[in-house]
Amino acid sequence: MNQQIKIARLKSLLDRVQARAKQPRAATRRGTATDIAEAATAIRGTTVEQQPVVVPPVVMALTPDSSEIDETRPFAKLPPEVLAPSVEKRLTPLPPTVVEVPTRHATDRPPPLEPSEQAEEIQPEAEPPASSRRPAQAREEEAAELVLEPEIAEEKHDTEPPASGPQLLEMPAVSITTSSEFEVDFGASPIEPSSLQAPAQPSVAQLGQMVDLEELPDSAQGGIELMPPPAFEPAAPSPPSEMEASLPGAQSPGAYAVELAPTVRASDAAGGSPFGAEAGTGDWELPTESSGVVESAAPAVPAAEVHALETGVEVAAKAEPSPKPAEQTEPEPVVQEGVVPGASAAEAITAEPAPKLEAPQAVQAEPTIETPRAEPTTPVAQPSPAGTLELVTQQPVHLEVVPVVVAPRQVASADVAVFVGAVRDFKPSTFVEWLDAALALGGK
Amino acid sequence: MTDAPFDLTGAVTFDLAAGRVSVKGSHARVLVPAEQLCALCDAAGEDATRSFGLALGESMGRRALDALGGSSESASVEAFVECLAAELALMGLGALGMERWGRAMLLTVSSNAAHDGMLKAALEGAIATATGRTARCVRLMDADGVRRYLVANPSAAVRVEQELAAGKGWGEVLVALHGASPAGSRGEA
Repeated sequence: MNQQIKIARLKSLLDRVQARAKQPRAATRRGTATDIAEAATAIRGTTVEQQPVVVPPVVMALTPDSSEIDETRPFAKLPPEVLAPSVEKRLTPLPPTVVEVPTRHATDRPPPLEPSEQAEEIQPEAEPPASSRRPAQAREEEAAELVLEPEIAEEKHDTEPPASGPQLLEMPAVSITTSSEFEVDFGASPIEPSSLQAPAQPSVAQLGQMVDLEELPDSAQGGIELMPPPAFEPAAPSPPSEMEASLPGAQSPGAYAVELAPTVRASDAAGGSPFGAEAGTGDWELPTESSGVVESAAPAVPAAEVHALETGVEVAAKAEPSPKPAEQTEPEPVVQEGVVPGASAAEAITAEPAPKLEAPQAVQAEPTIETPRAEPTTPVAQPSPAGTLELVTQQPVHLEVVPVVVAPRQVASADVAVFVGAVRDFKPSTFVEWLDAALALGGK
Repeated sequence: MTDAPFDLTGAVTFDLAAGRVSVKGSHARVLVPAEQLCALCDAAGEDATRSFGLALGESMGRRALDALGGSSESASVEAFVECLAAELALMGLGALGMERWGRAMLLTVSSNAAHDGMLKAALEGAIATATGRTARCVRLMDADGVRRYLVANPSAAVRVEQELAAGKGWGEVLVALHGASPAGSRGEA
């Protein structure tokens, strides 16, 4: 019931507005905020409050003489042509659609008139053709809508205060989806939302940023036209090994991979990354320098085997490959069975009750390359045979600290005693007392 | 110097209208880059730099003495060090500290901006003006932006410099300095 009544009221108001719009009036005169406010007043009998135009303080720089500015009315003496560019500059980035959308749809807040009218008033030249060709009837339609919308808003949101002008500029055009309760058919309304939202032709600013091909020299144009599109040649996915092989000076992938391993181990022993150089960082060392490392590390395998056989299960359990190398940094309880915590490597080996048979097999199955990677925190200064390295790292590290007595040379013990006595006994109460004692040192 | 025994408010005055900078109402000062000042000291030579530093130190000592009430005889070690450190900081010459090694007095200055010769002379001038004692400062070490200066009498300072030049460690020099001094000389001089 209420909706029908409202619709009827809206239609009647629309008819009145259209009838008023058809009345002859000065077509050459552009509508101003005052005109629309008067029209709204005449239609509704209410007063549309016109909010003052907010001029940014930047306009102060445009004043010819700052001494003549009245602080109470700083822009009273400024002509409109001085104020207009500043306002236009402030409002130009805002598209017209954003400004006028609240005037066409029922919003949650009653939209004021100023932004849309300001856009019309201060942008007469830069306005797109779509808005410049709107007749006076369109402005009358807008005025009628401006009057209608507060009425709708009052019924839905009576408690909300009206929004100010600057807030309207930021208001998104989402109210039409929320106010689907009201469907008002405006008939052949001359206002077409799409005409302003998507202008058919680019604006002057956009044209200014475009590249005019006609102004380019002929050689450049020909170059642009004749330039063939780049042929799409998908790069064949290459494994990392091929990338490594493509390095200048590198050998075949297989040989390169074999020679990289000792290099990695050498860096691990020096305290570097457990995986050697990082992939993609260009830190890979070429095999020219690592060849010597390969030669020195290659005999480590039999040495490790021999050492593993000698040490028994101690080495074998440590040499077992583990999927988690980081966990190998801590002593494994299985390995330490029967070993007194804190015992040395020799004690651990001798305390082992019986060697296990799988120990040599584990050592043989384990290449010497992986084991150093499992010990990234090994404080070993130089590369050592793999078996020895494992044995050292798995055992509790014993650092033998030799007590070093640093005695002052060429200083007699009597002098030291005097100095110590002075440190212990001398307690000056004043600065001058201490200064006198210090100046007395060494004689005069 | 938040707990300085005296008020540093208005210690440095910038009279922008006159283009004048003064410290505690003293004569006009000139703010110059420290590097350029060091270069100037190097170019001026040891004697000129020492004279320049002594002049700076004397003014610092006078202001410290004023802050201590006109006499430093009864001033505690902490109070004297705070006053002298405040003056040194106002000059931009570094942060002053003091260490006691037996009976030896060591001044530590944390600064890389001050010229060494100028700083030594400034410390000597300040101590001499504030206490009335003639003292020489010998640089024992300079590491990590901290310099240690031994405060000694002139003869002992020369000997210490010779020992340091001979390669002795400054710890050994300090110990030997205590042994060379007559026993029971505490508080003398």
